Amino acid sequence: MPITRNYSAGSIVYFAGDVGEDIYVMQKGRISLISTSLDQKDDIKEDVRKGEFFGVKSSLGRYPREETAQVLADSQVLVFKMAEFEQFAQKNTRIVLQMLKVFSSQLRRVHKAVREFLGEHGASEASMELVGVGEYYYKAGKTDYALYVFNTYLKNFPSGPLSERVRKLAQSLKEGAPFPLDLPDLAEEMQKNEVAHRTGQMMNRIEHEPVDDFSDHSDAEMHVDLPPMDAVPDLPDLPPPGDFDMPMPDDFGGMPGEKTAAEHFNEGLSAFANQQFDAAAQAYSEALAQGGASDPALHEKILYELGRTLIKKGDAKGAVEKFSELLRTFANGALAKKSMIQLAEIYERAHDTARAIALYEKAARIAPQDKEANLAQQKANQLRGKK
Amino acid sequence: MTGGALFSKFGKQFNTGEIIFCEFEPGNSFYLIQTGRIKISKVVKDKEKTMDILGVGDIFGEMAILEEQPRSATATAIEPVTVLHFDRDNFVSMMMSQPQLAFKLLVVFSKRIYDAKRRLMILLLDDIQSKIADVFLMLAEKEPTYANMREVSFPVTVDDVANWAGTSTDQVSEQLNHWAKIGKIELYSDRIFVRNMSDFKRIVAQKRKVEKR
Repeated sequence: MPITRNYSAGSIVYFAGDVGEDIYVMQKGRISLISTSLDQKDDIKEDVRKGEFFGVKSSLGRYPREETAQVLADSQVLVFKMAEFEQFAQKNTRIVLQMLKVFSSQLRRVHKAVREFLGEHGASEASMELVGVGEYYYKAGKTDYALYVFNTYLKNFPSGPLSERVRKLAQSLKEGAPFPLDLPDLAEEMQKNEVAHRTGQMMNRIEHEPVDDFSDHSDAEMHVDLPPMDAVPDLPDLPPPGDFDMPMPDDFGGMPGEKTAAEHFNEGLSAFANQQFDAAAQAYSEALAQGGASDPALHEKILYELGRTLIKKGDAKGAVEKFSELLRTFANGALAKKSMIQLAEIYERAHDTARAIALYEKAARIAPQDKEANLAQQKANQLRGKK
Repeated sequence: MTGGALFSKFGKQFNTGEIIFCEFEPGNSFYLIQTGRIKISKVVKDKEKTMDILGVGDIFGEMAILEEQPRSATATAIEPVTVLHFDRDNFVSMMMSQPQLAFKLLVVFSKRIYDAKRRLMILLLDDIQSKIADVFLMLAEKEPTYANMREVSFPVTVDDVANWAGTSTDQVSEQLNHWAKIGKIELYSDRIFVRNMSDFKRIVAQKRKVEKR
């Protein structure tokens, strides 16, 4: 049975770095959680609200407390031992589900930041890595595994950029032949395959947003209105699935049939990677229709991707419109430089050299002075030379 | 739902050696092991590396419930295995009918959040020396028996360290060789021996203090 504990103002419930297995629920008074941001630059202070759990993650994960819980006014808290919390959790699945929702969104954010930091792959580059794993198994003589991987690729990316190669490999594998040596190196093929490669780069680029400041990464997990402890009732018999009143946590996906703008956008990306440009254009339009424009970062990405897709569809005029709209709306956006270069390429192909040069030069001047900027400058110089 | 009914609806069986999912495969379900054991592995530089062995009651593939990212590793049955598998659609109803599973997932997420944050803290350091030092501190934290030990022998390779530090093997190799030369560490093909963990603690603590301004 959890106990009630009183703390007087000025005392400390636990220090950052302490190891402890207790889990707390704020009942009355004022307690503040003080932590340091992951990049060590800021101190974060956050009051625990009444009814909120704290100390949950570090107890369950068995790692040191990440924050100091400081008592600012005489306070009363409920203290669970791990086993008691586990028992409580078994009877209050809904509370656990709400906590899972909070945890999963934290986990997702940290993972995203890690991936961004490492510049890891988007879906289309991962599909090539998948082929690499299959080829490894083939060469290592693990035929069943190799076949599994090749079939997985073909199932997910039937018209993907490497589908021809994979079909060939699967065929020769089934014939019991050794790894075909006449096949070009996978790395070379990846580079050669400009469409897929650039899609991969794009995925990195467009997913890159400023590193999260993790300003709310404290351990205050979940607000729960707890009844007095001596009266915590067991949950009544669980309602049949689909009949409970808790809304589906949106971190676990929306309702079937109601795709979010981001989901449509992701569909567009994978259609593009599969070179299904009509489907991609359709998906991006859906994304805009589903409120994609209300999130500026997403809106910019959608416009950019739609522009690229229209180029693939041969609709240069439509593409120019999208990139121009992007530049009007997000003049200093993350994709402004790339959009200018896209526009320049369109004009270059249309032999409108003067405009192409102007756009390349403009793109080259946008900070940072990166590889793209240098390439844009080279293009401009080259065109000037020709002109 | 009873165990049997649950299994007939969400159960799956795999034979010894069968792949459950493969690294880089798109996927959206996660698994709870009912019987048997599985191996989690990755192909790194043309070598298959076992990351973990999981058994009855363990959960794997849970990241798929969070984000549409390809699998980060391969899962293979190393014995005849039965699993329950969940996806976004059956997630909530499964959790409601299996409260101990919901709790277990809470524990797994708690650990994962810490691991991921710790990893990010290493990546956010801006010089190679403190990054590598912090990798060893992190590895020591994960293993309670290492706590407060002065000398630790880590079963890791230079590639592993480079992977954790998010930098190239060459750079890491250069720094480790330097440390080996001045006697701070000993380098072996399959392990790295650290002479004095407090050296590394100091390097990282100073760095973090400076960054804190």
